[in-house]
Amino acid sequence: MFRNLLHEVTGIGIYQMFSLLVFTGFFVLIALWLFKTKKEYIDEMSNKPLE
Amino acid sequence: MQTEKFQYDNRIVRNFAIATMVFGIVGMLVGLLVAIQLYEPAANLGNQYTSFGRIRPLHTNAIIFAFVGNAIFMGVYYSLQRLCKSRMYSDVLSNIHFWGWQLIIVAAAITLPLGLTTSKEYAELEWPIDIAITLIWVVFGWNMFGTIIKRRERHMYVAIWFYIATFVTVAVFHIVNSFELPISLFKSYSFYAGVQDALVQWWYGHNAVAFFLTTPYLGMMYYYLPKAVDRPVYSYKLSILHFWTLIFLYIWAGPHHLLYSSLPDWAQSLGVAFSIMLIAPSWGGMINGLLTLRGAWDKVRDQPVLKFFAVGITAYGMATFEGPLLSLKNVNAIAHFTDWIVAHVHVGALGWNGFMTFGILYWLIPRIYQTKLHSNKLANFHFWIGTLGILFYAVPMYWSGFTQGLMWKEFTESGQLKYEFLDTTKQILSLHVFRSIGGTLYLTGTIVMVYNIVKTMTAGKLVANEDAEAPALESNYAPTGHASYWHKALERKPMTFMVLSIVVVLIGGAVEMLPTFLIKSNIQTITSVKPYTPLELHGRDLYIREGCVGCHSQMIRPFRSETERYGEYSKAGEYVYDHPFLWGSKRTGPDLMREGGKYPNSWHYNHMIDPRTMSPGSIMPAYPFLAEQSMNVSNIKDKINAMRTLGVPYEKGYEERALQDLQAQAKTISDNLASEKIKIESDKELIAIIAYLQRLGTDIKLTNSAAN
Repeated sequence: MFRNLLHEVTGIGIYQMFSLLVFTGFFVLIALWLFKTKKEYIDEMSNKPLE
Repeated sequence: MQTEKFQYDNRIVRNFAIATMVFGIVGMLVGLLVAIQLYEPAANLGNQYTSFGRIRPLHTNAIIFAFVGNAIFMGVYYSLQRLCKSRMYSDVLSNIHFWGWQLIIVAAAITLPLGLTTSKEYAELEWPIDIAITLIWVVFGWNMFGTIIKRRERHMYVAIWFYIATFVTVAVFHIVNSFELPISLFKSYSFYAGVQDALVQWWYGHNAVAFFLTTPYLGMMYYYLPKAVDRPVYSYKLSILHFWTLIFLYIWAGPHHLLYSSLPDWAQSLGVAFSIMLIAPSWGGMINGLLTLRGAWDKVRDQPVLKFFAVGITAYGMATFEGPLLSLKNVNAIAHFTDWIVAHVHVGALGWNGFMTFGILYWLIPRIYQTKLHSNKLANFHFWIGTLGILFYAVPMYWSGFTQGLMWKEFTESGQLKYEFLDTTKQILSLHVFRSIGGTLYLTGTIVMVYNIVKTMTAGKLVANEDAEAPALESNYAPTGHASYWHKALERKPMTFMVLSIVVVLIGGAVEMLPTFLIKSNIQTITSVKPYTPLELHGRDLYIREGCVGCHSQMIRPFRSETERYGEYSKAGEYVYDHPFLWGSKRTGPDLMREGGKYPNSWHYNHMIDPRTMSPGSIMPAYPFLAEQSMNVSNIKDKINAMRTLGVPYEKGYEERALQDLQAQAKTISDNLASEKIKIESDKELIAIIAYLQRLGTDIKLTNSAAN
C-alpha cells in the first residue's frame, strides 16, 4: 500500500521538518518586526487609501 | 516642497470595467448552458462544438481569466494610480495590456470549442496562447512596476504588496505548468508525465485560486473597503502578518487536490498540514475586512456597495474555512470527485469574486463618470437576487455532493456495492435543476447590474484624465531612526520586495516538487506498463480533444468502495507514459482507469453513438460525429518522435512503422465490429477512441491474470 512508498523513500521526513522550521522562523521574524513597529507609522500607512 | 500636477488615467479603468461586464455575462451564460447539459443531454445542441467536454473549460476560463481577470486589472489600475499618486507608467503599455488580454480571451473562445486543449484544468489553452499570456502578463508587470517606481508616495500600501505577489507568482506558475512540447500549431504534449504532471498541475491549479482569485482581491479589499466605508482598515499590522503568511503557506497546499491518489504519501501529508495552517492567514484577511465595518453597520444598510462587500468577505471566510476541512483526508475521501467541490468553488467564485467585483463596479463607475449611481433600488435588487442565487446554487450542490459521496460508498449487508454508478447520477438530477435555477437568478442580477451601470455611464461623462497633484519625492531621502527598519526599507524598494516575495513563494514549490522529480524511488516502475500503440495514442488525443477528463477520472483510490466498483487501485508507475496525466477531478461519470476489456467493442460503439441505448438515463453527450470523421494521422510520426523526446521508450525508427501499426490495429477493431454487424470504416475517429478505452488499465490486469 501507499505507506510502503513512504518507507522506501529514506529520510523523507526531513522535508516535513524543514518546512515546519522554515515557516516558524519566517513567522517569528514577521511577528518580531510588527512588535517593534511604531504606532505612528501604522496609523500613517493605514490612512493611505483615504488621503 | 514642490507640488507636481498630473492626471490619473480613468479611460483604461473604464475599458477594463466594460470588458469585465461583457465577459461576466458571457461566462455565466456558458455556465448556465453546461449546468443544463448535466440534466438535459439535448442541451449539448447536437454538435461537437457545444458538447459539455468542450465548453465546460470555456466556462471556467471565461469566468477566471475574462471576468475575474478584467476585474482585477480594473481594480488595480484605479487603485494603484491613487496609492502611488502617479499616472500609470505608460498609456501605450496600458493599451497593449488591455487589447492583448481581450485577444487572448477571443483566442480561448475560438480554440476551446474546437477542441484545441491541453486538458490541464484552468491551463487548457494551447502553447501559442500560453506564450501570448506570458507576454501580456509581462506588459502588465512592466506597467505596474514602472508606476510604482515613479510614485510620489514613499511607502507602498499593503494593497500594492498583494498586487506584486500576484504578478510574480502568476508568472512563475504559469510558466512552470506550461512546459510543453509542441507538435503542431495547436497541439502539444506536457513536458511532465503522470504523477509529476499531476503535482505540477495542482500546484498550479491551487495557486491559480490563491494568486489569481484571492491575493489581487485581498489587495482590492484593502483599498476599496476603507474607501467605501470612509475609515482605515481595522488592523494594518494584521494585514502585514496575514500577507506574508498567506503567500508563504498557500504555495504548499496544492497536493490536497491529490489525496489518496498515487502521489507519494509524504507530499500529500505536507499538503494537508499546510492547508490546515492556511485557515489562520485567510481568516486574518476576512476578520480584518469585516471588522473594518465595525461601528459602521448603519452604512451597510444604506449602501449597496457595502452590502456586496460584506457578503463577499463572508463568502471568502466560509470558502477558506471549508477548503482546509476538505483537505482533511477523511473529509476528502467523501467529498473528492463530487458536486461538493463544485459548491465549494462557487461559494468562492459567486460570493467572493463576483460580489467584490460588483461592489467595486458600483463604487467606481459613478466616480469616474462624476455622477450618481442610476438606481440604488436596482442595485439592492441585484444584491438580493444575487444572494438568493448563491444559496440556490450552493445548497443543492452540497446536498448533491453528500448524496453522491455517500451512495458511492454504500454496501449492502452482504458486502455488495448497493448502487450502480448510474443510480447515483439519476438520484441527483433534480438537485442539478435547482442549481441551474440558482445560476439563472445570479445571472439575472448581473444583467440588472449591467443595465444600471450603462444607465449611469450615459447619465454622466467619463473623466478620462482626472487632475491630481502631489509633492514630488525627495530624491536624496536618507532614512533615519525608526524609518530605517528593514521592512520599511523594503517598502521603498519595490524590486527587492518583488524578489523577496518570489523567494518566499518558491520555497514551498521547491521542497514539494524537487524530491518527486529527483528521487527515483518516489515513482516505482512497473515492467508490464508499456507505451501506447500509435492508435491508442491517437485515441488518447481525441479523448483530450473531447474533454472526457472533465467528467471521468482515471484514478482509483485505495478504498474498498472503489476497488469493488472499478478494480485494482491506481499505482504511480502506471502513468509514467502519460503526457499529460488524465486523472481528472470530477466523477460526473464513472472512473475509466480499468475500462479496458470491461465491455466488447460493440458496446463502446453503441454507447458513443447514443449513450442512452446502452445506459438508460445516462447524461453523457452523444458522439455520433466520431463515427463520421476520419482520423487525421498525418502527424503520427511527429507524435511518436515527441513522445520519445519526452522519455517514452519507443524503439529507434518506430515512427516509420507507426502508421502501418495504427492502420493494422484499426482494422482489427473494425473487423471485430463488422462481425457484430456494425459497419464502420477503420479510419474513423471512433475506432481510435475505442482502442484507447480498451487499453486503459490493462497493463496491470494482464500481469495479474498471467500470475494467476
